[in-house]
Amino acid sequence: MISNPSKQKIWLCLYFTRLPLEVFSRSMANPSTSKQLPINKNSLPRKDKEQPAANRALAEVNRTLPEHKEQAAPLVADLTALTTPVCITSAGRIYMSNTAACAAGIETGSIASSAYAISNNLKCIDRNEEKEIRALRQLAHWAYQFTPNVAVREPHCLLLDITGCLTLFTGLANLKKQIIKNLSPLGYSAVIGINLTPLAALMSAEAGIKDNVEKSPDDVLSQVSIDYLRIAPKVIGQLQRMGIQTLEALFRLPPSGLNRRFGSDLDNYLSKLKGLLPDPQTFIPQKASFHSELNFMADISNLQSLAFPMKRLIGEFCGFMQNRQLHAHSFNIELTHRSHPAKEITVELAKPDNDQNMFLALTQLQLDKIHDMPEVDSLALKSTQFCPAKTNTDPLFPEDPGCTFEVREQDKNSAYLLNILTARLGTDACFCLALGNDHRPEKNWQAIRVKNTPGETINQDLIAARPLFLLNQPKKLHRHTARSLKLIQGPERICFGWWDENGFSRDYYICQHSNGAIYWVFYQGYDSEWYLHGLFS
Amino acid sequence: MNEISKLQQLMQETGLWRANHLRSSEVKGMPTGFPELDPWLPDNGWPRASVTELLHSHPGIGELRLLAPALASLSQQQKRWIAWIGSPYIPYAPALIQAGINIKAILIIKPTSIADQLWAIEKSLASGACSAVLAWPDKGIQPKHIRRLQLASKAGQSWGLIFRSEKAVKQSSPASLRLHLKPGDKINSSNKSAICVTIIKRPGGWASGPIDIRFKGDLNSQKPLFPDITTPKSAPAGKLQSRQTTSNARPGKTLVNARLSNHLPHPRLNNDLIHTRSSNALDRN
Repeated sequence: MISNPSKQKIWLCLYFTRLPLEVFSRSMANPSTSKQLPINKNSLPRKDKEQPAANRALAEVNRTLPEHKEQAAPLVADLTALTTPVCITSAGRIYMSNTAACAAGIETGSIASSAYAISNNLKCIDRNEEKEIRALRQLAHWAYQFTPNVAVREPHCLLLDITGCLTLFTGLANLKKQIIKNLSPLGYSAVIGINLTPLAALMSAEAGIKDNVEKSPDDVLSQVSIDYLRIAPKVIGQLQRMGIQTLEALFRLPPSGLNRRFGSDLDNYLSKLKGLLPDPQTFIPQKASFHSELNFMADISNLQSLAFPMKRLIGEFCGFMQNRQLHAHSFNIELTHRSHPAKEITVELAKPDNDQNMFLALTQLQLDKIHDMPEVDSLALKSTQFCPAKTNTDPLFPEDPGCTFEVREQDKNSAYLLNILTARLGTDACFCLALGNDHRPEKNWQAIRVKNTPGETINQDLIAARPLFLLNQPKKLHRHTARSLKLIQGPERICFGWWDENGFSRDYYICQHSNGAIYWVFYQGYDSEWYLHGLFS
Repeated sequence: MNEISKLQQLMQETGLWRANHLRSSEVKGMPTGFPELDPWLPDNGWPRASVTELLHSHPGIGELRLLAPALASLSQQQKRWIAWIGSPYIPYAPALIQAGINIKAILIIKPTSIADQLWAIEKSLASGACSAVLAWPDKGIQPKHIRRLQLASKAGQSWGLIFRSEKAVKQSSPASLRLHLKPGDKINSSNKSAICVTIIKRPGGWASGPIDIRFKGDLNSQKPLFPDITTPKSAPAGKLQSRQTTSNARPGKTLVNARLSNHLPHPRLNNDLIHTRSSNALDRN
């Protein structure tokens, strides 16, 4: 089968059986009290038209392999154990329902109106495949904590190449335990399938086969129904008419005959399934990106009550960064409602950080500013701006005063202050000063973006006295004001910028008003007017 | 002299304490840079962690130059911000450098409403990231707000400076130090400006009478570059009588024009120069 056993890879497939429902219901799940309930067979998704017999086949598999039942059961954390029955509808029919709905007797595949007739407090949500795929992508980035080789298999599967990480997680059993443990707080549940090829792993997960990496894929999967083959439904139909029900029977057929009859596609597929042909996967990019979404079943009209879901998203965000040893530069929060335009808030950070409490405070400040969002039905947190986290280690004998605890503490204070100021007042409301390379008083200074900490001293060449306060625009002096001024020093001619449009030639004087204030005024030749430009405060 | 030593003996032996020594001697105020002002202030200097109110009628009388030496030393010594919140005009960077202030330690905050402004002042004071916070709150500031700022300033070990209108002199305020600033003597022949400070309230002492402070420097500048026009025997103090007279006979105009023309080429002149050069080139071709 496999020529070199030492090189064989082990694939783990995460099959999110209830993703369409969990995309919506995870906002209601309480991560701290997640219960692990056994899988409810009735609540499993009705397979698409290609595989109408999936449920039947699953039941069959479970019947034929009774010892696998207990094994599959605890892998599924049903977080949707809500008291209100919730159903996901697709084209007017019930596609998936939670345990409460199943208990009420709502069957998968029935018409939505008949489901309403059964339960009066039923909540039906239209299936949203876009959200499912977004959630799956986010889960792929989440799974990066286990292995860098993660591939997305839409609509509901992730493939993980776990060959290299088994030693790190001390064996398969422990790795599986870790995955399920870390997955349940997110509000998702998955079935795990492990096999030696990607396609076999997918099939193991979908069919709920007990993993056995000692045996070859075709041995392990011999009893699986051919409904689980990912090939054209027409071919499956033809095979069934030939009397072939399980893979074992299919594998017994001569490959050349299959090839002649069904084309090379089936043969290729079976070879990849068995590991005879290479099956390269497209792994997710290594660049981190985060996009987590909470969809509420009911509209939220009070933005204050977003604090709890927000806290949860930020918790996920910080956990994500911790796993990948990253710090965020900024992150975005998106509030959406089906009948309003979406609103996106950007939270900028003074320095890259991973501080849950600060993120929460900043988000709260931003949310307080929103007044034009009457209702919210979905909340998302996303970020693509990351940088590697800096680790702070104190030297035993500190020589460089730049890395002492006090300095770091001050940096932290400074970053916190700048963060909250920019969050509430906006990025334009805070700035630092710098010198401009220009002799015009208006352009001799400039506002620059705030850096994290105060910088070093800068020097400038000696020039004549300048006022501590400069007016934004020179103010024309009235004649009676001009009369009460007494010239003290000057003139200082500033004649600059004649090569651009804003050039001027002005004579600056220092003068004192009769009320004691000292002003910086100038006389402009071309309009023969006196202007006030600064105050010697 | 005998009596003084007796008095000192009495002070030491009987365990009497004086109200102005109430605070621990470890805390030293920041030197103001004006020896005539220091003895009047608690701990001989500006407080490091409390709110100081500065009341004045209008800007431009030297209220910032009074603080400049202290701000300069703060900005040079500490790696903390000096926040300017809601200042009426732009703090001008070249002048700040002239006053010895490190402009990279300056943080300008421009809130739009009084609520935002008070919030920003409080947060800046309490954060511990600012060595001083200069604030120009609108008229909306009330004693209860100042009380909060006082507490924030203690928490963040930050010096709060609140510039308020002169009208608040008669009102009470929880600020620990309150100064009333009035314009000093008019600038005299030696070109020194002055400010008159009256302490209305201070910890461990009574209100003071007016203290005249004469600024040492010549309006921030270390070295005057231009000749005085108010020297006794030249043109008399140039009151700007009207537009016509001043524009016709501006003192020192010819002198300056002659001097500047050496350094800065006049635009017209320069253009002529280029023109002649290019025409020469054309001739040659």
